Amino acid sequence: MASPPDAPTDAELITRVLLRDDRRAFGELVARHQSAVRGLLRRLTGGDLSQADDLAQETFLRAYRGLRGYRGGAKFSSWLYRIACNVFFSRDRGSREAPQEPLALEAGNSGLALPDLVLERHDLEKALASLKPRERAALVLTYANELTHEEAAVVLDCPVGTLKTHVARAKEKLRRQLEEVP
Amino acid sequence: MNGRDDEVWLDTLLQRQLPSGTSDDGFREQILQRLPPRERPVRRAFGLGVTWGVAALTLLLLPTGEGSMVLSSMYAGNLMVPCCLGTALLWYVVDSLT
Repeated sequence: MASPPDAPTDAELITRVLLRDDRRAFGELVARHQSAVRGLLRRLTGGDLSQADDLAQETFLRAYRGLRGYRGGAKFSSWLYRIACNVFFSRDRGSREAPQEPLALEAGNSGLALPDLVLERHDLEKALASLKPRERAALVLTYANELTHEEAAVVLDCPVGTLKTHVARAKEKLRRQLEEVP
Repeated sequence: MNGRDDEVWLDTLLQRQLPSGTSDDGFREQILQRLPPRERPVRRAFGLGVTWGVAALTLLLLPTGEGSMVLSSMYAGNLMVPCCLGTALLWYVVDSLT
């Protein structure tokens, strides 16, 4: 979210939160970054809006509790993405018994042809859901959240080479799966 | 489809499928409501002082049964431990209510 030129920077808002427990400043940080964090989690959860928002809330609450741990070396958004990915990975580990499936397409309009974009999106979500969580995260961070490989590697706490391997592997799997779609 | 076209097609698909921009729709308020309660060091210290004072006075001014107050009797020392424990419990209740 773009902020006006005279708006406080993220660093200033963080300082206010840390020094005065300024909830309004934290609210401003949430407002600025909620879209990206929720978007990231929606993609990671295969479009499950309810689960994604639940995880996004957990992400911001963890961020609030751990704000003193933010060193300012990386962008605040990258730090949030890192928390969001960790929240997602821990939730994913907890529900590994039940394999994640993308949400089914609504069948209400059975007589109508679904637009190609919707079908395409559903196919992609289905293919994304079959990827390993780290591969999915690597792909989503670099494509949808438009992070550089270096930034995404920081978020996923792995070397850049490993990140690139995750992305390449994920794309290869996606390509294979999407080619199988009739 | 050759390799380059394949790559471009997949890139386009990923970027199109993954739109950005989610409206706030009350998300910020939900987060703010779930934040832990504020730290209130001054108010808590004040609450502790008042609670301790009230508890101590109440105990010390109790009649002992010999016609004198605890304040002026030898029982005051014996009441120190229960007084402290009672004060701690009372402060915990007051602190969680304020």
